[in-house]
Amino acid sequence: MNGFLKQMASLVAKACRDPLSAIDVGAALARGTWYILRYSLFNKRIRIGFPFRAFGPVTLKGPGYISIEKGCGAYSNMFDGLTIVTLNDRARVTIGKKSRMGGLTIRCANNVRIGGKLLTSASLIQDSIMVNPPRQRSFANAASLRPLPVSIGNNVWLCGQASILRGSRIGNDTVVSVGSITHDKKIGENLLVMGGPSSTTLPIDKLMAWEKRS
Amino acid sequence: MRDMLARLRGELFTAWCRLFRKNIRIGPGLRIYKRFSIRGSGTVGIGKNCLVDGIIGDRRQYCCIDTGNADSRVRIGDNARLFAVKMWVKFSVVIGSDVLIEECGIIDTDFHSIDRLRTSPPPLEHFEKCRIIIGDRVCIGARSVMTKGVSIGDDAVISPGSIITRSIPARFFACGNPAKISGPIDGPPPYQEKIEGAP
Repeated sequence: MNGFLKQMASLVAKACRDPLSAIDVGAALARGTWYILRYSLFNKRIRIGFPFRAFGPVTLKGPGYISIEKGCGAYSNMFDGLTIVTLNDRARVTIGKKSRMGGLTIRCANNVRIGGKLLTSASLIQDSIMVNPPRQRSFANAASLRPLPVSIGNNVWLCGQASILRGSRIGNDTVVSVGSITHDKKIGENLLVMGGPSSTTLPIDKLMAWEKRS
Repeated sequence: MRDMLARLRGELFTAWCRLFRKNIRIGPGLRIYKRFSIRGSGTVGIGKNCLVDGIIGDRRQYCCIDTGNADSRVRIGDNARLFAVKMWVKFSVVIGSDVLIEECGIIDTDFHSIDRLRTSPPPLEHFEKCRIIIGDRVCIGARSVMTKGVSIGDDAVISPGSIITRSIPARFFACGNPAKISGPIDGPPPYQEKIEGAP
């Protein structure tokens, strides 16, 4: 109880120091609650955990399953806030706890699984080649180009313009750098990933050690 | 309901172009689901039964075709489906039939020279060097960009987010920035089984 009071006191002190940002956070909480009511009250397939801070617009569309766990936040960026589109009724998007998503776009046809503490800028996660169904006679229907599940581990940072495309599996604590494209590839833990198509991987531990030495 | 509105909007747009904008020729059966803008005085030809829409889940982006001058030409084939395609055409863009293009930029000029004065237009551009040709049944993913002088063969598939700077042969899959050819699309071509009964 004492700890809780202390926490509240520190929060109030923070709000007094910077009232404008406190108002911002309050408005974001209110907006997030409105989104929770709007999307998940009548739709059993969409589930959003309670403290959801929406600093930007949130768009959830499509017939599939979407679940966002508690403590997440959506920030606005060059694209329209957080956008999640499910393309068919078997599509499933899962986002873990305490993710902060700025301008993230997810287009899901199969399965997108994201661990907790995701941090993104305006990036794209898409697990199929085409959003709209290609014509029967097109090669995009070929067996080798079917949608594949995307999985992203805990505490991953996706920088701006990064595209995570179908079949990519990204490990815990990895940083995906600006503009890199990952397509049908497995990437390990604690790495800095660069290039499009992403070919360069640098271990973050060594980079940090090198930075400290110089 | 939405389809009917789109059809009506397409008919109205076609009629408007027939009356006031003689440089645009549109075949029958155009469907417009979201804002469609054609600007400039170049020649634009659109085939039969085309579909124009924005990308799903995005409120801002729409399909637009801008032509730079009166000599520029755009030709889009039959049954093309364009989702939030942005085109800026100075010379020529030819798109085949049955294509599916999503949220893609197609630009056939560099706009400015790379020298210090940034002179516009760039001195070394001409029609043969800069024209863009896209074949039949091509699929192009979201957020990709085609630069000048690129030609894409029939049945090619281009992954989302790729920047295409070189030509891509028919029946290949390309991905990346700059786009690299990942390999041929394996498996039996799905359309050959169905092509006998199909129109």
